[in-house]
Amino acid sequence: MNNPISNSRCPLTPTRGVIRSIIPMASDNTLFQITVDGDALSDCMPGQFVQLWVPGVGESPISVCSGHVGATVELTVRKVGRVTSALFQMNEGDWVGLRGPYGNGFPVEAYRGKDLCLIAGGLGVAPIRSLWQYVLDHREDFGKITLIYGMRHSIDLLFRSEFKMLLRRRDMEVFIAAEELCGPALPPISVQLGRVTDMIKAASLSPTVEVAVCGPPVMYKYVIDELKAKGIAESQIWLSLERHMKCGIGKCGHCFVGGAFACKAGPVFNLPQLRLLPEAVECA
Amino acid sequence: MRTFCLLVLPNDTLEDIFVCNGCVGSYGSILKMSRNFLLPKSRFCEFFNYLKGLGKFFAPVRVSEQSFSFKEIENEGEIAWDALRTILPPKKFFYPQRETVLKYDRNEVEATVPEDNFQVIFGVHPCDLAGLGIMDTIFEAAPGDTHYTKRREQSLVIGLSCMPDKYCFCQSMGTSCPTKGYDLFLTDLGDAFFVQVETARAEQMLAGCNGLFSPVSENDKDSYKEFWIERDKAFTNGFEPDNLRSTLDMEWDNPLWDELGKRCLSCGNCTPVCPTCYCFDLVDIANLNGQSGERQREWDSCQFVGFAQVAGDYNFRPTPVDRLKFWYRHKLHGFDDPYGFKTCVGCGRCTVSCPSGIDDIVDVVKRLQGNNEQPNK
Amino acid sequence: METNPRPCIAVEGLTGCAGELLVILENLDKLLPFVRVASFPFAQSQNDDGPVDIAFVEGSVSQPHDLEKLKRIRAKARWLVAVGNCAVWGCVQGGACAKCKVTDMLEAVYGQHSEIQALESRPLDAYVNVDVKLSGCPIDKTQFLSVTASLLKDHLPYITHKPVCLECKLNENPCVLIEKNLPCLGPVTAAGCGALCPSLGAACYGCWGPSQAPQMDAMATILSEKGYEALEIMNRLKTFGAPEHLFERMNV
Repeated sequence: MNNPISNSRCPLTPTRGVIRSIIPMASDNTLFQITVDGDALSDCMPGQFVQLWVPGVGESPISVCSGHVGATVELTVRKVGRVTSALFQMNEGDWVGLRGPYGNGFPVEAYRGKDLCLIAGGLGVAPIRSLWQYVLDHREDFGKITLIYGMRHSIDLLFRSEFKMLLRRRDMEVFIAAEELCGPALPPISVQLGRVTDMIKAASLSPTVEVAVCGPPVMYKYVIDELKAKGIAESQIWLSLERHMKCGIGKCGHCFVGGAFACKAGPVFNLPQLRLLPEAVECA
Repeated sequence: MRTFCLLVLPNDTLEDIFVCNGCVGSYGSILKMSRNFLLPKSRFCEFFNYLKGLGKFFAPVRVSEQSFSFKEIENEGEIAWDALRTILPPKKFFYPQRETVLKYDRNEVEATVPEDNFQVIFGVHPCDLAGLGIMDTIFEAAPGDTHYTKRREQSLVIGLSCMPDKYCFCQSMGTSCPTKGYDLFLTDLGDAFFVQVETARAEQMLAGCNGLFSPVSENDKDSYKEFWIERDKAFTNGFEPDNLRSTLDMEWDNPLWDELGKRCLSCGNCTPVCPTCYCFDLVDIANLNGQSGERQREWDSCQFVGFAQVAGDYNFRPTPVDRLKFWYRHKLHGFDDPYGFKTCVGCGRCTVSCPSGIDDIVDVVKRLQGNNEQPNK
Repeated sequence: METNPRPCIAVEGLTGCAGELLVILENLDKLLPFVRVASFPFAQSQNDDGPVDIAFVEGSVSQPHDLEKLKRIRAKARWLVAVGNCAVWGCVQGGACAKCKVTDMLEAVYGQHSEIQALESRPLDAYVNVDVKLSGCPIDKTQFLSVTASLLKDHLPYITHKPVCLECKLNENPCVLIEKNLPCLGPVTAAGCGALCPSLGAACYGCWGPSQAPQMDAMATILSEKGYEALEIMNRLKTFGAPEHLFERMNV
């Protein structure tokens, strides 16, 4: 009780944000650009998340998907629950609440000077996008960059126009794979038939590469196996953990796993850290 | 049985008492900072009335044959002096079961602030004081919880000594002599209370009733020591916590968890009654006008099936076994890493509140440790 | 001046005790500024059959005309809300049908050649798609109003099915299951009533229907250890229409 904080702001109170634009994307995903009052989110780092509040409905933790956050934050949202369904009914100009940024994010300082491999599965591409945007903004600080993005159906490909640009870059290598090729072809984007793991096999990765992974929980085990088969050390494999994050500030307990609040100590952990958290992820 | 040894250093002052039982710190460390005096029981009524003048006065009262509850009282006769554990721990005074955290109306969002209400919480036993200390750590960790802290700042917490029953194991958890979380501590010496003043705030508040107190004599000090030595000897369950960490890690897949899980009702009774369970749910309540409403938080339980479920219906702990095991680990090992302490304070509430009899921490740990004696219930 | 017409609601009853209709009627004054009541035969004589935004339906489907009525309501409503245990779980009449044949019951009550037609009593979702299930016996008015507020905004309401034990403990009641050995079903029953019965020292008898993922087998084990007979346990657990599949793991 040495530092009375009762007069300061309640950390559960969101900052008001106004929806600037709503950009429909593949399948049930939509990109929301939201402008917040003041510089509440300007120190947001890649891999961090915000609590998005739809008044009268509730909050949902959403990964920030832009690498440079000023007054406007970008969130890719899939309609899966009550809160996201309500968000999808909103219009440009409507207001929502935002709290954050929360979580540790990807350890960009540890990545500096190293080769990087970014692996995204499905909607996991959202937080990975914040990382590639950040890294490309500071391109000279990093070595070789490999980006692997896998999805179930090729028609689910998100950020199409951005991938067109990425594929043209000579300073990075991009692999896109789908388990099923469907819908019209998307030239110049070539989507290969296969899984994320096939792309890892195909990529040439140095043993010192730092790997950032985000995707559905079922994907992790296979990705880890494949990376380890390439001789990549466990400490270089970083996973973003999905958990039920209700408060985002290490109080409500919903995301507690092993000995850590995933919302504060995570959501990004490397494999040795994860091994110390029972029930965190299957990582044979 | 644990062996006890009492070291009374040659310079026989209270500050030097060191009751050593292998895991418990010294009560002396509390005394170093505190001022001590005696409150004769004949004057307790005046003491009560004085405190009551400061604000609302809460103390344990009897609510059924077996149960007690901290309730607001009007006269000292209502205090249940024999109350060992209340149904809910005193965390409810700082972190109420339900509270509104914000209100919104059209474009405005307003954080609510707890009312200015001074309260005296009387009769809090050592395990619960330790529990409050742990709750302080959780809720004050940045970003601090303003609701909790404001209520904590406007409360006077008065501890009270106790004698353990068969469910108590605070001694094993190292919480029988808490070093924070309270303002005053009263040790029952029969016809008087040995009072230790812990905080400057308490010192200030007692300025108005100093006439009730008398200085402690050598005799009183002896009685005080005797009481705590006797109390130390009164713990009977022989619970050895030394290897909790490794036991919980090693026995993560022990079949005992399945056996317990089969009996688990997932009723969640073990969590609200726990002095250190802090989990909550956040709920929006919209008004019919479609423009305004509020956001409430309510105690939640990791034992409920939806607790670790994420959007899209993936559940990280789908079965009662997963959830029960998680709870045990969280209480006995989970906070070793972020905070360096265990979150079980040995109050025994979960043991007496579990309809299935599977929250007998002492028994379960003994069985995990390899002591296969069946529970004697 | 209102630019948009107010949303329309309908409040209809099938086979039930009208308890939910009564709760809605008692709180209608709070709703009236925001909705137009197109149909509420229990409370008004002028009812129209046009499309509505929200239809609240009480009661179980127990007779052929219940079913016809339900299908009509479903066809005209954007949101269909099952209110009360009868509509959500089938309640006592559903629980009875799980034990005896409906033809036997019909004969026992109305004799051999009655003209009464009866169906096996079932909850609404046995026949139509139900958007929101609001259990209760009767429903809780605060929850009803907040659910309505959500639906008026076209938001899905947040309805949890945590057990009665949560509310009971939040009220700091002594546990009647432990202290009095009463056959309290709080651990497996959905909360919402505010733990009304245990707060008055009585056992919860499960009238809000099962909680989410109720541990029926553990509940039966604990009650049998307290000396309750298997048959009595099953009767208690099944009285309010808890569906069969919740009992699959049980060996009582």
